[in-house]
Amino acid sequence: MPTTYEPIATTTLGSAAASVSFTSISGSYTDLVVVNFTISGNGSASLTVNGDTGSNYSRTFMYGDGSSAASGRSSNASSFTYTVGGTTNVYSATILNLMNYSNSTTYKTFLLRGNDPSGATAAHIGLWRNTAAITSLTITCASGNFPTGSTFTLYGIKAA
Amino acid sequence: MATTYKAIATVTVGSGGVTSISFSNIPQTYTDLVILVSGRTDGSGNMCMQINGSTTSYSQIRLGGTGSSVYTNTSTGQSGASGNSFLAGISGASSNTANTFGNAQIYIPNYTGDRYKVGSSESNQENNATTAYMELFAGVWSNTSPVTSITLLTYDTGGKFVQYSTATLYGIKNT
Repeated sequence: MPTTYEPIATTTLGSAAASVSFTSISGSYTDLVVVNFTISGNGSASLTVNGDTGSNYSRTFMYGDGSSAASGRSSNASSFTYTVGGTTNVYSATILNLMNYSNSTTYKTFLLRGNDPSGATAAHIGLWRNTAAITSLTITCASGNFPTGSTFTLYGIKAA
Repeated sequence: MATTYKAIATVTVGSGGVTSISFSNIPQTYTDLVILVSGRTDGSGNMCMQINGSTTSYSQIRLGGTGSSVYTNTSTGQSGASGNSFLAGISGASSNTANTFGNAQIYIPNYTGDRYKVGSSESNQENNATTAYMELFAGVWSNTSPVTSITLLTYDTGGKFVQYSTATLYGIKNT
């Protein structure tokens, strides 16, 4: 059986860091998956693609924190913001999917399941308004630093 | 390159149903675990999860939709059929359209690590009726022990997963 789900790179933080990057991402896969196991001071992290910090990102999300359920949206943002862990010792189980990331024709879209298991559970969709192939991803802590022991893993999925 | 997304074990429920579905002696050689469930119960369909047989230190947050409304709630431990656990999804309920099974995907990252163990799940309880359910969960077991066994339980006391329910445990390696 051909291998269709492959690890591309993993970062495990040996010390706290403000951001993590995956660079020189091969275009040989169909889709990408990023698993975030981490904490941010406010339960949020942000993604930028290919170093772009222009106002080219939008997102829609639904969210529940145990007492209120809501849906929201932001557009013309400088990054794609999403939910990660926000409580000491309770890291996130957050999974980001980026589909058809290497084509040079369409804008790039994301699906994300974000979890702060002590604070909220959420689902996000995102858009990066750029047709360039994705070659790098940078994940930035929205408040403070990602703590020691955080892991970020990039997988590639091949359609055939 | 080695296969990184690998089936570890599958359970298919036989005639008469079962009160729980367990995966034990889970290999410690993967990075993350995924459980895919196609299930139906003889009760409400709510599905709980216990780790390593523990009956303490669970909590979860739920976000759900019915087709006409949304809801969210949280619990520090769910008193399911077999004691404290966390809700991990929904499967088909006895009141649902016949032969309709629910689906759940449960993702458990870093299950051998030294942090608290967390889970993310998406699930549905489809029904040929006005109301059906989809739910998202974030759960935590506030224990740093490696995950060596997982048990899926029905929420209802004495409840069972019915025949033809299936659950498969997958392991994912990051190298």
